Amino acid sequence: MIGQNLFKTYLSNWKTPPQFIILNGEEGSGRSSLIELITNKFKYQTVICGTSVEEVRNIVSLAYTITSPTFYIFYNGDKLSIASKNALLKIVEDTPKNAFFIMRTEFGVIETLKNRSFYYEMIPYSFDDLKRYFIKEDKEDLFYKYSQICKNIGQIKIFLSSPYEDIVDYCNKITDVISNVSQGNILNIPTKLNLDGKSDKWNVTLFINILEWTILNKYKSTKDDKYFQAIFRLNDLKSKLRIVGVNKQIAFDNFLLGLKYLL
Amino acid sequence: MNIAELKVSIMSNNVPNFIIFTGEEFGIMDIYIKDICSNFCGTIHKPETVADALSLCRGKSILSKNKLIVVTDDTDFVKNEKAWPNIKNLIGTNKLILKYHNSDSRLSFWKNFSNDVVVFEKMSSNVLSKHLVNKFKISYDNALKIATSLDNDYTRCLLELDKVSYVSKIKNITMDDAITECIRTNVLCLDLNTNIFDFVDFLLHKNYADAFNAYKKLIESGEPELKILNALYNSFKNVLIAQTMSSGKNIQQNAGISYYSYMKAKESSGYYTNDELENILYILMEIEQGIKTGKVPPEFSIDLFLINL
Repeated sequence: MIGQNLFKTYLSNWKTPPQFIILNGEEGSGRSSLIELITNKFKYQTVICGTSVEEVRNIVSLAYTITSPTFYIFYNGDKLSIASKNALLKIVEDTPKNAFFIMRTEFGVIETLKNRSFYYEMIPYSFDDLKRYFIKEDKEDLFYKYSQICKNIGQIKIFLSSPYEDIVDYCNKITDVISNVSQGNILNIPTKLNLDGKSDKWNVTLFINILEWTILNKYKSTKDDKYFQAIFRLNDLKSKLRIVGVNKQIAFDNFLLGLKYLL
Repeated sequence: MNIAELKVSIMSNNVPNFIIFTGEEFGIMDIYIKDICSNFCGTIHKPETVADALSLCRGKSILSKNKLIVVTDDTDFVKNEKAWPNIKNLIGTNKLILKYHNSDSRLSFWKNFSNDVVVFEKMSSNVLSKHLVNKFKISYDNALKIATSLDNDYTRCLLELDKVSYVSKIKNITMDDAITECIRTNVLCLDLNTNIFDFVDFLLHKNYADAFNAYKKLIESGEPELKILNALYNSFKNVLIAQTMSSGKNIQQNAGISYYSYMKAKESSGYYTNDELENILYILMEIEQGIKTGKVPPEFSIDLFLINL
């Protein structure tokens, strides 16, 4: 695993893991790899947990009865409802002996959980880390061209496994002609994206990063204020997509319809 | 256990002593319980909890014979893991049937008793209609109309057709004529007008009076607001697509909607300008995100949309 040396130092010093670990960082920042490092070191049995309040309550009651050390892993910590988080508070207040909880989040957790757990904020990858990964994949030339698109190793992996040249062309086309095309055509753009997280269409984060990069390049070359405004709109879209349970399709449609009049 | 296996076991008088019935079709469950009862003993006991059922099983009397005990929705037993292993022994030679409206397959209760569960799912419209045709001697079209408008709920179909059979007897007319008469006089409680798409269609055609009536019925029928908002969003979006794109063989590829949806939306085009439609999509997005962030109470969301329309 590249980077996260601070966490690796913590891990090497632990004789037993902290009872409640929260790993916070953006998608692709290496949280799952850290979870793998932890579980590989301690070799406890692991239970992957869901996010419904019934499931969390079941796990909480089960945690007090188990006799062998067990990791309970919440991969979708952001999707936990308030009721589920409150159910987990019991664990951090009165930790069961053999249960160890690991939670993966992107947008942080409530302060009460944060204060009573081992909270680790993923350290952003350095320029050299990212370069090293591109070199390792024998794609150094791409690093110089597209380094601003991928902010972490996970995103590089998705970038390299996607038809990135097609996406870049498509984003260039969007910024160039969106003001001239019909609303019907604009509303067709989100159908290319993997908005439901199940299909093999383009990754949403990658698409947004490439569109942002394209608009920034246009701004750099033209200094036109409309591109600057477009970046604001894109950031607004990003914040809307963070809302738990939001309909991404609707958010994307409206962002693109707004972009039509802006560009 | 599936329903076919249960049927076989009833016919061979070999029904297990402990069974769990779950699913939406409580009416069909009751028919099976009656069948089991008629083969087994004759009386059904209906205590409130499994604990009460077990005390019935333990009770001894000179006249005592085996009991068929039915317990409905005892959630305490679902949570009481310690009671599960011995339940079959404690019943003895009696029979215990647990009925649950909902089954969350993730709970360990359902995993633990997976072999004892019989799920009564709703019949398809086609199967239910054929069944109603045989049972009530009505036309297939009428049976299908009743089945679909009652959400394929067998129990509700029986209740409504029971009324029809009375009307048929009193007025001495055929069952099909009685159905027409009952629909005309609003005797049948069919959900013929509580369709989201009717509501959306009225709005798309700016028929606000009918839209308001349809909306009232939708709310009375307990349709979730987010479902209505999604239907509204997709319909208005399809109209915007239909208004701004010409038809063609590749409409699905070019616009991301099916040819049928495109043609349906085309019928509703012309009532709103493109700018108005874009504004409507924006309002719907704001309301949807408002619900998700807690800024808009769901129960006011549709009203909020209608005011802004």
